[in-house]
Amino acid sequence: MNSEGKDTFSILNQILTFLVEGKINLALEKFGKMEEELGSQISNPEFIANFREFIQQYHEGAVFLREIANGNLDVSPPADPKRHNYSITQFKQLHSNLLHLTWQTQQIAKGDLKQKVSFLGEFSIGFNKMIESLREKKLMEEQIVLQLDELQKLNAEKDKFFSIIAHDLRNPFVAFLGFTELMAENFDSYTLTEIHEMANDLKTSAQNLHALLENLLEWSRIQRGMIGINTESFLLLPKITEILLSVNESAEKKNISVIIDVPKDLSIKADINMLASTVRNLATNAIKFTPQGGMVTVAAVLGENQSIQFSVSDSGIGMNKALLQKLFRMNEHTSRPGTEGEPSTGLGLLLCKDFVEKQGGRIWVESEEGQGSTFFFTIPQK
Amino acid sequence: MTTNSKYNFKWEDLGDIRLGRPNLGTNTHVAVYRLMQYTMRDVLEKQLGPDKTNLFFIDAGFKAGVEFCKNILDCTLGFDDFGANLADKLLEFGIGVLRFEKADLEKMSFLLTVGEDLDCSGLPYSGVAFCDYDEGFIAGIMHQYTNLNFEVKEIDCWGTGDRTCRFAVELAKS
Ligand SMILES: [Zn+2]
Repeated sequence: MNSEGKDTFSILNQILTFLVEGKINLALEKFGKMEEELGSQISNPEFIANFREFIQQYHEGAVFLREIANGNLDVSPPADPKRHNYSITQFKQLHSNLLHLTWQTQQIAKGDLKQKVSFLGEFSIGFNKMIESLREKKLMEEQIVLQLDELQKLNAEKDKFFSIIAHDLRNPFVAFLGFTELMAENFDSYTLTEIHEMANDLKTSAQNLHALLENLLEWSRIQRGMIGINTESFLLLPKITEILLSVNESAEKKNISVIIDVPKDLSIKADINMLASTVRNLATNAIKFTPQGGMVTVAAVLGENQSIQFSVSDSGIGMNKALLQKLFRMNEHTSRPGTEGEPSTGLGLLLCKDFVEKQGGRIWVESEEGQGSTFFFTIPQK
Repeated sequence: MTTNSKYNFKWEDLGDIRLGRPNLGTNTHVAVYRLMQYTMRDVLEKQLGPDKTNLFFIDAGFKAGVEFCKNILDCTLGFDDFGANLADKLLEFGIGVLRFEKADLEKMSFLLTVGEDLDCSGLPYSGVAFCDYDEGFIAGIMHQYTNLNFEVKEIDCWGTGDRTCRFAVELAKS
């Protein structure tokens, strides 16, 4: 080995020692000096070039790791021109993974809980579990909001329920109390005919009260989930005829003809009690809001998609747009007296809506002020 | 883009591939795709020179990006979902593995990587980034989605000694 070789060797050894001791700056400095001092004497320039590149990469790698270790991602990984040097490209891979991970956490912070981390085995398992639990929490929160909504709605309905009781039970009772008071105090001064009239009025009042109580009872049973659907098949015409017997008296009083327009052979699969309550309520309303001598028609046909469509139409006073929009809604006060002051609560329509929807059907109304109303509802037969 | 040509690409021009290739299916070897792209580059460079050829690939990529976005991606999505949709489709079509490294929606500035890129992954070092077509492709997608113009620069590529392609996406200055 000549003297150049010896010198070069011992200088390179010093540089390596600096590197091993972690004194990169000294190694770099020494290397610069060596090139300066030995210059053209160096007999193996390729070896020196490789050595320089090695120190450079080592230096850049060390700087990169120092910054990364301190949490700074705003740093360049060591360059690896041309070689696809696996150990050097991994710095870039690490950098890229950390940048992507940072981006993912920012996305998650923005609420994108679909992100899945696939970096650092145990870490990503833990991280993904965390996202999963966040997702579950979010779902739960959404459910709670929904339930809260439902509760508020129920509460509003309860309020309405009580206001109906207070308002609509009061009037018939006042009449009741008045008549009974008069009878109790002045019984002897009334003629038999007068007493008979009073008894008739009392009977009507009691019937109204009874109908209202029936509705209230059914409604409260629905609210408590006590009414289940119990479907059976039956011929429609005889059933409708039977249901409408209960409204005959009030129709006759106002000289209203009730027409049934149901095909003889039409049968239906439905809950008899729910159907009866719906038809009875709609027919009662139709009679209430139709003046003396009018007409009420209850019809049913086989409609679209094998569902049976009912209609209850009257030649009555109809409804304006404002009232139409409030129908079927618990939180709106829709009650108005009938054409002869018959009491009405709006509760019957709510019952109809509940019963029809429970059977998968739809209820709606077409009406114009002064032109009568037609209530439609469907019962699917699938 | 060309103004006096009679041909105007439409997505339908791709044909009904399933109908046409009942046995071979919709996929082909990546080598065939690259063979076409790099032989075309060879011929074009000899006729037009490298700069014009690069522009040619960027323009073609842009058109492809616009059509890909129109026909494959869901532009009604918000940016985050759109990004996820894009990543899914790039994977589904075997174009590459898209990852975001940075996204600044205010400045409309993005840093994204495409791993296992269709055009360049596995290519030897040459000192230049290969993926002009991809630059145009990404710019086309972004343009179609935002109706804004973007400048896309490939800053890392297999051609420059990297193992994944990295693209800087910025709003065009003009
Ligand atoms: Zn590339």
